[in-house]
Amino acid sequence: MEEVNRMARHLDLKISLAVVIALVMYSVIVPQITPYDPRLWNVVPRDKPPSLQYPFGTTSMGQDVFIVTAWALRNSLVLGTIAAAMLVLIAFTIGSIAGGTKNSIVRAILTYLIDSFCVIPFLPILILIASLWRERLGIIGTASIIALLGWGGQSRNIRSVIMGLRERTFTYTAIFSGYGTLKLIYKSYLPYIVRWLSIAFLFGIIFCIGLETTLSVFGITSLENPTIGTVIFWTREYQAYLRGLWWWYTFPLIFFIVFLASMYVIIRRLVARFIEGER
Amino acid sequence: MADRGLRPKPKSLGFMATPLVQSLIERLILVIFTIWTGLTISFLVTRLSPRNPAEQVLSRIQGAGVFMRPEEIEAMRRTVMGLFGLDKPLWEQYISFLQSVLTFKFGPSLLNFPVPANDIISLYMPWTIFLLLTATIISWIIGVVVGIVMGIWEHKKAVKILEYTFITIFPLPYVVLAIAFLIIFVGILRIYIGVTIVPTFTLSLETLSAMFSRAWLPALSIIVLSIINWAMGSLALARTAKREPHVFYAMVRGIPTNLLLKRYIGKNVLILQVTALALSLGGIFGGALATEYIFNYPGLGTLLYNSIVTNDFNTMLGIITYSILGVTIASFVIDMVYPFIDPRVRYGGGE
Amino acid sequence: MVIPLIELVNVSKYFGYGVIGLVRFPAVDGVDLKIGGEKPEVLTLVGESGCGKSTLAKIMLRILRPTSGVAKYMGKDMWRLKRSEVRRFIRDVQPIFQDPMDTFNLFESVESYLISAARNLLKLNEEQATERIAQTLEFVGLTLDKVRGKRPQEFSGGELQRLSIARALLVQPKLLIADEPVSMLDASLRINILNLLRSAKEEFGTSILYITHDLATANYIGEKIFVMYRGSIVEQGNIEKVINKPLHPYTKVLLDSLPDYRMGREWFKKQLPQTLRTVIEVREMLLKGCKYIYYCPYKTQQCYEKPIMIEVEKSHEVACWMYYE
Repeated sequence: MEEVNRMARHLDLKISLAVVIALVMYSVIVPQITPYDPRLWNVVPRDKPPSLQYPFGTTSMGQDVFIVTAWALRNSLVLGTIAAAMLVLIAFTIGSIAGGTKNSIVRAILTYLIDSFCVIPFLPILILIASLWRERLGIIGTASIIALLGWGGQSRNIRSVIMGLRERTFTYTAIFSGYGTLKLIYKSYLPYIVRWLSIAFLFGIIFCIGLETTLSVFGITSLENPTIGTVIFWTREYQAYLRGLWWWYTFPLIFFIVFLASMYVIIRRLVARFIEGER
Repeated sequence: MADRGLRPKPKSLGFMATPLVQSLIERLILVIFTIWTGLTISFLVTRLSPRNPAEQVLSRIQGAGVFMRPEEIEAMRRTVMGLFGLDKPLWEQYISFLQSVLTFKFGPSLLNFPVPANDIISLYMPWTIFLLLTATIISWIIGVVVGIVMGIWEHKKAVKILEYTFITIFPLPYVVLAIAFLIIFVGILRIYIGVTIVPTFTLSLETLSAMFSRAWLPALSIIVLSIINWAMGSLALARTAKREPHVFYAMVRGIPTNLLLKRYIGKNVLILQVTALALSLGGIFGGALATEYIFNYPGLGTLLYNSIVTNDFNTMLGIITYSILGVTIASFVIDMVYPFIDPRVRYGGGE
Repeated sequence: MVIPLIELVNVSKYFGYGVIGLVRFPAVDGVDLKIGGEKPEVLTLVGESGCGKSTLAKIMLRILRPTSGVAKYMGKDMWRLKRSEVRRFIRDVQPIFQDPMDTFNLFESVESYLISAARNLLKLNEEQATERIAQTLEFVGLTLDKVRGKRPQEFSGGELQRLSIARALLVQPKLLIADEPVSMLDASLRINILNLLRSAKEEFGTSILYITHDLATANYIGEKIFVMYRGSIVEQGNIEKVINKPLHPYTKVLLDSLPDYRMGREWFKKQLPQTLRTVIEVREMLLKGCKYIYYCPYKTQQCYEKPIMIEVEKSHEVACWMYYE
């Protein structure tokens, strides 16, 4: 709590936290209180500009933009969070073994595996997989594919963090004070690892939401459960740009941009405080 | 003279070569392994696909109205399967795939059957290189300069505002920015992007102007995002450089700003950003999938996308191979050249 | 014949470079060393930075495994010890590190290290542990109240180094390996820490291996000296004999370059010997013969082979072909 207080001195951080909380609440609450399923089409008149009844206007598919945006944001968030959690889990498992093992063969193999996953062009492979199993890929499926292919970079980071910790003098002090391996990890390393993982996780959310959006713009995710990416996809399909339906794309895009930017500001502050200001 | 038997024998060092040659060999082995893994993963993913490209060729031929008897269809199927190498067991397909990588002959393309995939790739390659090379270099120059300048005057108000603008755009996925460009230029300004047939690349004014007329908008979108990328990176590096004692000393001593820029901060930032530039130049052989798809630009990315959705595995694996080769070779070259650019790094130095 | 506490037999440590580690160079090259006889003594290991002192210390502390040769503890290979023997090793050999700020974890109280040492290594109960900790802290000039519950950020560098010594002495080890314990401290604090080390020898019967690049402090507390150059020990013996009559050309240069505050500005007029100014190059590390060959004014053809330790007088040995007869 003290940490939170100290960091809240920064104005940009305050604003970003408020924005993120507000948007999360918007995306969680609005779909709950709608009178109808937000996935349904043709429930409201089409192509209506913003009015009192429909504050963000309506789409060409007869949906209320206010509700669709909330629902899409919610799905993007859920997907990003699940994917980031899986990605960090894979990255941490492999990275920490690669950095912590004493077995040089295991270390060499894992290191080279990490390097390989850093160079494979995963967008084409992702698109291939997604296009093959589009129908069967729900939110969890898409999230796991993103996590399975995208863990390389984070794993490399975690590996070097663990290797750095092992070389720190306090590791030796602990060993010569009779710490066991478990106590060393639990008491000495955990605070460092938790800080790194929390940053990796938040970065992972941005990264995974971005990837999912890219996939959706290509139109190769399941279009039934709208995310921000599929909203963009449909605006392209219905040529909303040329038809002047500005409300359809403006509100979701602005919410999306504001959300990602706020997340990024929070991460920057965390990095500045946790990693650069650590010593 | 001393008795030779008394002295301890000198320890063998493994194989003796200069550190430079040794690390060259080591890196080379690693690069080959990395390329191999990347290719294997890509290969396996394509073969996991339940769709059969040969059937698609057949149905296309039949769809064209050619009448065939069932035996003929069967014979045709076998021929086509043979052409794609799909009649053999998986490991044989794998070996012939690795052979095709070594010789750069990826077999026939499905999309444009029976043209070899390599011919189609080389038709699109100049378009992609034209787009990405110019965009990368322009954005690198502007971005690095902007970043360094921001780093020097980091406490000015204008710089703060600029930085927050960058922070807002930086975490966005590229597609969102590209869509925003489409909205602005096509939706609001009503600028028409022409559709041209891909001409064979010749170094003539005509082709170049055709390329430019198609490339400027996608290039602009890449340049804007990349400038922000490079500028943020350079800004962070410039901040670190400013904290170094010798640069701080120079600032306190009151060295003129342009000298400070050139000699102290600029140099530190440039050393690192040159290598990053080389890395991203290695990345251009994969094409810009998202850009080319969204702006409908005829390059490797569009080709890759089309080959993915039509299961044109030969073309797809061909492009992925070029992309993996580009990235790994670029990072290999950087690793080898880096100690020459940066005096702080030595081969085999440090514990 | 007493078994030495720690014995190094032709120990070398190669550092690999890169992921597979095909590129290798020696940081420690063929070192023979015996520490810990019948009575406690203060040994010093002197050498310029980058000569492999710290690597050698880590080998003796069982942190690094030697690439070739054997590091022995009580006559047994250190890396083939049973669990109980490792525990005994940790009780017998304790380290003090160079940087007091990095010795303790910023997220843990300093006290937790002391408690862990008393409870896990000495198997004391809570009451005895507290008493032991209080005694040891008193020895280094601190009190339990001042230390309790505090994190390392709340101490000064000098206090932390005292705590580091207290932590090491808590188990009353037979050998204390102090790797540059005073080089990060203010000059005025150094003498206190050195006195503390010396009285630890008297009080607890602990041998001390004092590793430093500073001949002056080495001479202040040392009884025996090892001079190290580019990974090998070039001269060893009684510290007075070595300082008064250096034999190896490198030792001579090292002693010659020592600044003397009484000389004042006069010292600047002295030409600094070239060895001490150059960067260590990899080719030097890879030499198989005498490492000093590039700078030695007396070099002969024989110097391209590895020199052996020659006892020139009683308790004074040198690794130089000049003295080989």
